Amino acid sequence: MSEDLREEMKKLKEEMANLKDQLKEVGQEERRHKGGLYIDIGSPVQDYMDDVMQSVAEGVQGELEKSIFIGPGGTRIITRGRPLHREPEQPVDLAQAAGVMSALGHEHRLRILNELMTGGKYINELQEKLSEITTSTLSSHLNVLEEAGLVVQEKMRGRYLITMPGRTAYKMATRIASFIKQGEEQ
Amino acid sequence: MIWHHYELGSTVLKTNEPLTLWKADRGSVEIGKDTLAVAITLEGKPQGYIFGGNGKMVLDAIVETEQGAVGKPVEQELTEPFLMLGNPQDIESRFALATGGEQDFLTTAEDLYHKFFREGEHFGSRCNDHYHEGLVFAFRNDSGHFDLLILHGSKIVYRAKHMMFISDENRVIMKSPEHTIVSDNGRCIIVKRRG
Repeated sequence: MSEDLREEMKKLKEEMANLKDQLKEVGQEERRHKGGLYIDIGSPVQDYMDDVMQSVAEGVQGELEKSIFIGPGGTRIITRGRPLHREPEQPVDLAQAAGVMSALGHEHRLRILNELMTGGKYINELQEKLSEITTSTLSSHLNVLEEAGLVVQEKMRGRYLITMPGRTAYKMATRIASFIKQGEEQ
Repeated sequence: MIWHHYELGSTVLKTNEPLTLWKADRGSVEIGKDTLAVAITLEGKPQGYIFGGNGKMVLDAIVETEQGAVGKPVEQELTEPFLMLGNPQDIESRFALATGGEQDFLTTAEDLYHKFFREGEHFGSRCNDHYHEGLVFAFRNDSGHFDLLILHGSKIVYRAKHMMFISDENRVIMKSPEHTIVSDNGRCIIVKRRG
């Protein structure tokens, strides 16, 4: 290492020590006034830190856009292609929404969904649970749920399965009902 | 390793009864009576067929997750000629010689054979001497390419125009325009595509 460089390093160390002392004094002064620590480290440094923070925030946001939600039981739902901040939703197909609500609008159909929440079932298993209705009525309800996309039937084994929208719709319906009940009780 | 070349037969056969070419928990491929068939041979032995007639393919491309089921059954009426590689047991005894429309079907079968083997879209026209297991079905889709259904034991691979479905007992991978799902013994990762 050259002599000039050593001299330069020594000066820098001294300047750093002075700066530390000054910061300590400022900090003590601030503590005296506000009961906390506040250090003005100068606007260029602050700007730089702001830039770094912004960059990190953007990076984190980018990652979050790829991986948003880890559901219960360890199931991960990862969304892609949309920023974290929600943009206006696409126009809702109200006719389709009405169709879904209509499919939900029967106690027996809600009970079918409730039975399917625990796993896929054959029609005879559902029939045992809903013994007060006939098989043809049960089939009719299942068709309505299937057309609305709340239930899907395996063609080979014949089991009925609740779909992702089906689970969401069932939870939504039951939660609305419990909110209303809570409101009435209050 | 010895390589053998597939060849298309010149005799048109027809099924004398409905045939189930493949059946499992997740799907099936069936053809009706009087379906025309031309053998694909390897060293003179039938190793597959090109079929033309009425049939049906069913595949339950559904994945059960804790968040609910994803996917739907694929049902396809097989009214267009399709290709099968592999040799289900006793199939040869279910054929009789066709007695009409042979030449037209032979031309169609040759076209399908060349598209599949010669144009090299999926397979070369040869296979090694270890390949004697499993089934491969190739169905022409509306864009002129092949939807492939490949079966080996409990393993299923279905690659169609808009979806990919791979299943092996408790493991399933499904890729569609809406989702990519990987499910392994109840553990599941779902990548949902939006916008």
